[in-house]
Amino acid sequence: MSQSTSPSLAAIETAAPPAAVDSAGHRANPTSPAGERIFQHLIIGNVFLISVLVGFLVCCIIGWVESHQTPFKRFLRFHHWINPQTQFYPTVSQMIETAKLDAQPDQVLVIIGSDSILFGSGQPVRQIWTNHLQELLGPKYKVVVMAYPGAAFADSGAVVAEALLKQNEKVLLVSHLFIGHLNPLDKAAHPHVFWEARARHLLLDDPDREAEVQKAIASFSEPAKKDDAAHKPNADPEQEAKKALAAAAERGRRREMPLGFGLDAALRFNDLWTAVGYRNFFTVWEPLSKDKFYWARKDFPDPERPTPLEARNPPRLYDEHMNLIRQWSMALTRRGADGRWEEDSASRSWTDFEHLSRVAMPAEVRKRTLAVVTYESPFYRRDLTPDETQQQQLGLQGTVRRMNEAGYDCLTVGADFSIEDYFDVIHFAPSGGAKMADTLAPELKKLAKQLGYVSE
Amino acid sequence: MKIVLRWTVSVVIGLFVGAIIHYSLYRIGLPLQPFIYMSF
Repeated sequence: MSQSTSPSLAAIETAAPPAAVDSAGHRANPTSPAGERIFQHLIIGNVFLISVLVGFLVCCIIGWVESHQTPFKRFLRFHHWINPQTQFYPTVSQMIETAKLDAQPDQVLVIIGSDSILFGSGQPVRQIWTNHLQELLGPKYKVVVMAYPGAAFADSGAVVAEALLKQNEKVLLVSHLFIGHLNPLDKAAHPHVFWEARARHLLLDDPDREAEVQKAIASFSEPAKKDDAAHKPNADPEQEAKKALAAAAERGRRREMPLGFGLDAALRFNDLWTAVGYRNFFTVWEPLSKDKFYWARKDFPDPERPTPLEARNPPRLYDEHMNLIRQWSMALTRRGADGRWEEDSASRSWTDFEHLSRVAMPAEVRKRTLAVVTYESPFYRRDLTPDETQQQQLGLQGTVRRMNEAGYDCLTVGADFSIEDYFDVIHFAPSGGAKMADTLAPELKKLAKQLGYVSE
Repeated sequence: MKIVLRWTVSVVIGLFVGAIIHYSLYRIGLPLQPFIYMSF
């Protein structure tokens, strides 16, 4: 590969490969393919290899820089085009830097975590509920939305809040959960935020949670359980095969997550290429952006739009939504000896819930967390039978009580909201969001005072 | 002149390949489909 031994281009082009073959058809005196010969002629091997290393190291250094700043400009929330719905995964370090951006030293950071309900699905930018919450709380507080659709109670914002707490920031967390339901670590819809933060040593020490982490790591390596859907008599075999393949790929991805994020913690590839995807060009095709998939994600606006009242509760989804409401409380209650409904305290659902409420996040974060359980739209609740309504009430009361016992400040929102206050079965319209802010603001101020963040 | 060209080509392609390897680590960590199609 050195200059003195490299043949000229003309020599390469004129040198005819030997035609002789042996009895098996193999060339008797093989030479390199033309491409390889040109490569050897143009490339100095040692220089090339050192350059590969330098290129890789430069990317790592830029990735480290990107993990200490936020790429997001005029940030309001991780909307549709900058969240995992469209294959865009902001890193936990970028989320933390975004939360801290423009915060004053004495401000209390109010981190809005969890899912689409607190994210403000159905609430346009100008009418998002957190704007009203910020007005009510005043300048001593800074409200930051770290929620995005599909994230669970202890995902996304909760991880960011914990990391900020470790950095000695004044933090309050607002996070939503459904009745009697918390996700174990191995079932999280957005596992990447937690695992990334853990690999980067951004989390507080918590032996109870670490025991759960080890259980989750062990479960990732277990063989797949048979999916009931695969045994449906009318299931399309091709679709089921595709689903099984995708599920197997997802299991593999989760199994490799601890290793992958460990590597990323050192090499910072996620920070660099996520920042490039936001600022310059996106490199991953996904079906929702279609022919614009390569556009820089900063060029996509927040697409949340209001929905007319008459379109919010389509009849075709009525049964599905009613079942959704009924399912929350079903496994949490039973008929007592007197025939009345009562909490089934010994049920697996409650014991799992009690356990998860204590290991989902460390005690230091729990006492800074306002946990919110929301009522569904009265459009559906009005059609529940008296028995179902009683079951729901028991489920809500049991959830709030157990969360308070675990160290959170937990309350319900939406009991007296109207149909107009809902965007669909579970999400709030702008008016409902504003009412939620009215409910949460005094609780947050009380919590901040208890923690000594503010004097009044 | 020729050696300068070979150095330049080697460095440019080398840097590019280094960046591609770094990018590949990011790319292989992404799920095959957006989570929404997996969960719902």
